[in-house]
Amino acid sequence: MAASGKALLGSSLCQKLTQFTRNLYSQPALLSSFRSSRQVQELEKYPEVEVVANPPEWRFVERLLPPETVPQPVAQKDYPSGWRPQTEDGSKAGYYVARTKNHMVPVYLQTRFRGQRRITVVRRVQGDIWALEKDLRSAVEKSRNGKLCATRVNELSGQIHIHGDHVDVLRDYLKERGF
Amino acid sequence: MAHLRETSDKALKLLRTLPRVQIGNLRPNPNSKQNDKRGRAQHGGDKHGAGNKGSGQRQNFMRLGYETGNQPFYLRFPYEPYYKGHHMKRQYPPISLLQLQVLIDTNRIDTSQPIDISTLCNSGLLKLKPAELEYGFQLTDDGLDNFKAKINIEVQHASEAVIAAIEKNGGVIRTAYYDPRSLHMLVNPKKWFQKGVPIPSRMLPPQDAVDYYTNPKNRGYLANPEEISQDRLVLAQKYGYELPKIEKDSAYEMLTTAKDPRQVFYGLEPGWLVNIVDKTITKRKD
Repeated sequence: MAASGKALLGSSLCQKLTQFTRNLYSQPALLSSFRSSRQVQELEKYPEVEVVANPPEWRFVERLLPPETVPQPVAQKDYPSGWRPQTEDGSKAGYYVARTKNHMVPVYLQTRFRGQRRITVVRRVQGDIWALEKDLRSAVEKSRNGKLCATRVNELSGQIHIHGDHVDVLRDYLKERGF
Repeated sequence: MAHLRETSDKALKLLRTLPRVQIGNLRPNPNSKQNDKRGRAQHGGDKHGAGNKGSGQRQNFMRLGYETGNQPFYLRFPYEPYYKGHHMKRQYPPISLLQLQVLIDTNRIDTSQPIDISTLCNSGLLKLKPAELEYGFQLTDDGLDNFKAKINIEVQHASEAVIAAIEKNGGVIRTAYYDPRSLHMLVNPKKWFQKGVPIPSRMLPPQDAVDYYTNPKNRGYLANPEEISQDRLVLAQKYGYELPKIEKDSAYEMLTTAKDPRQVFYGLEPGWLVNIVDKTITKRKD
């Protein structure tokens, strides 16, 4: 009994202390929502509100919610940006280069040694990777007027590494081929 | 040398099963690496490669930038005025017209709706960090000739050429200021709605940004609309294109949609409380 009385006294004292500290910090303190918040007042002092279900403005909210998956591109006559949808499935060429989840051609530039070594990497290759390597090499060599270029094939991970920065050439080449 | 032959035999056997040899699956030959144990006493326990005397032996290296009595380089020049206030400057990460066109072509952005920061961030490909003083996007002129979309876009900074490129296609561009709190809401609206807090109103621009956003040449959101429509004509004459008439456009309503200077989201007023679980909006009764 005595213990509970003590606890009650303690709680009321605690409340008083809280009020006291709140009054102390009547100036809004930064970075503290508790100290800068106003005390709760009676309900009549607040403006009247209504909760609208199925409001006509809900379309503005829906527009702000992000799509859960990457949207599929819509077929158009032409694409001004130079991006093209994939048309080839690889049955004719014997190899296939899959697009990324963002519908892009998987050709990347790897730089090492402070940009001194530039290697173009073609990823997501399936099928006859050696035939693709031959085609890509000829495309690169054609773009640099017959100058030879070194390549490396990793058939396990389906990647082709080409020495030098040929990202634009290879991206355009693969897009032209329909990959 | 019997063990070595065994090793090489083993290696050859392994090679036949491995698909390839490359730098990733090679390792040094056995016994080719020196043991890095530190010798003691007579067995190499002399200086341990640290040399004789000085900071090499005692590891009391000089502090960074100290030049043994010279005036150090980092103290040699008294004043670097171009860094003044760099930690306070507003950043506007760039997006190019080419990037925007790619986003439109790959169906990441819906051009039938007005485009703002939340549209760009919701594409999942562009990021904005208001906490790192990034106050919005600036639209740059890369890919200007290939830009063909008719859009209503709101960015935070745009050059004259970009404005001309968008207006040439019959679109509308507007530059607008958002305070960090509003930016935080726009970057991830879904997460912000989940907080269950009424929508605050947008703050007005700081003093050094007022000139930019009240200038009709920048298509500022605080500029006089009549002056803006006049400047659209002037820009069309300067760049030599015929200004498409927005009034006669079928998408007139979308193209002329604009936020109030105090509004953060399109169509949602400050003070409203959006509940995305129950799909309700709490409004003030007036």
